[in-house]
Amino acid sequence: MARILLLFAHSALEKSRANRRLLAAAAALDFVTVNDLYEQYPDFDVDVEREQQLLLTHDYVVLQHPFYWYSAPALVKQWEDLVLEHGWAYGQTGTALADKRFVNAITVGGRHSTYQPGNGHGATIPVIAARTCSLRWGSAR
Amino acid sequence: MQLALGLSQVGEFAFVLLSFSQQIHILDARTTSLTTAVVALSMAFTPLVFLFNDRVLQPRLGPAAAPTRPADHVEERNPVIVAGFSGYGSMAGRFLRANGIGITVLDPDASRVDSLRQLGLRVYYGDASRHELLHAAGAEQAQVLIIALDSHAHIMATVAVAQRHFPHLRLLVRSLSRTDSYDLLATGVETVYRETVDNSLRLGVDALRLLGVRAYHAQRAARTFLRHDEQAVRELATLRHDKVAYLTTARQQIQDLEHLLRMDAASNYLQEVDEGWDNTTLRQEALARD
Repeated sequence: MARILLLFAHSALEKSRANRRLLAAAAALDFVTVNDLYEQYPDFDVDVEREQQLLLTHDYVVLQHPFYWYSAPALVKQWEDLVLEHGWAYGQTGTALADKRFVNAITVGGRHSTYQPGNGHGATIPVIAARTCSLRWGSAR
Repeated sequence: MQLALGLSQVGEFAFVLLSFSQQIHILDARTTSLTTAVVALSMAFTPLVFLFNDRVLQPRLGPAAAPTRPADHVEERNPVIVAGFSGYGSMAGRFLRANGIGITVLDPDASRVDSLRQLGLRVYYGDASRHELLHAAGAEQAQVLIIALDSHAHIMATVAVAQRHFPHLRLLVRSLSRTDSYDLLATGVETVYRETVDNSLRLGVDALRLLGVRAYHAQRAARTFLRHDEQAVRELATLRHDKVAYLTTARQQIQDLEHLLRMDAASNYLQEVDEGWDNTTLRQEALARD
């Protein structure tokens, strides 16, 4: 069976009802490994070797976090900077993550409708993300 | 108190002084002999003054009566018991209270208990290394026992009692030195806190910064160093356990130091600090492509 690594990042889980429920449901599944990043690295000292090993031993990677400033909590960025090393995750010899599946699981503090064209934020989340990177969303589909 | 009473005798040097004063005719014979008698009597009575202090004065004067003072009755029940409330224990205890966690404080120093009480703090006089006192303090209901006593022997005794009688308690234990940590780790306690470590590393970080090292690098370097050092303590604790029978302490300490210095070697340690945000290989790859 495919193994799922749940990278979970919430800087104040005690205040989040949605994430607590999602996390509890995921943790009950035996093919899911929950990696609670803020619990593991409250001081931001990410253990690169441990994280790379976890990635290598799983087929799916789910990144679950609340949507802060159109992005993720700060520790996710720290994790990316340190773990996804050149020559390992990218670059000419960086193929460690080839063929792994990646999924985002995001919670927001607003209604679904606020992330629609013409409302609130004026666009859906993937489009907002793509715009931030000056990309045109949808061309790859 | 002992010192103050000791001052009540005049002392042998007075005899020398008096006979000399008589020789050079500062004092007459009568004054000299009278004063000499007073000095002699004061010396004779001093032991009696000490005896009076021990038997009559001290038992009535509070703190020094400690050995016979019964342990306080503890009314409250809290998830945390703090044994020892000197500077170390009180910092941790204050932090817990500030976070709304109830703590029961036991301290074996009667005078400290009294002065903390005067400040309005709930502190109980009692020795946590006695199992009936831990029981009275609510050890059955508590989850965590913080052992922050001032002497290593007292800490070890309390650990032993807690492990034997209250195995459900999670022990968080103060360690006064590296060698004390080996003893504690050997008892099976994992949560051992060497009291000087974090603080001296903070000082080290400030020293690096004064020398021009960037703050975040200095901080990462200290945290990596701390992890290495914790690992070293655990390795050495096991090594000691195996060799303790035939190595002298001094020789052992030299070996320990060698082990530590090997672990601090730049090749080993700095490499780990520098790994983050290093773009050397990225640059090389980009240059190779040009």
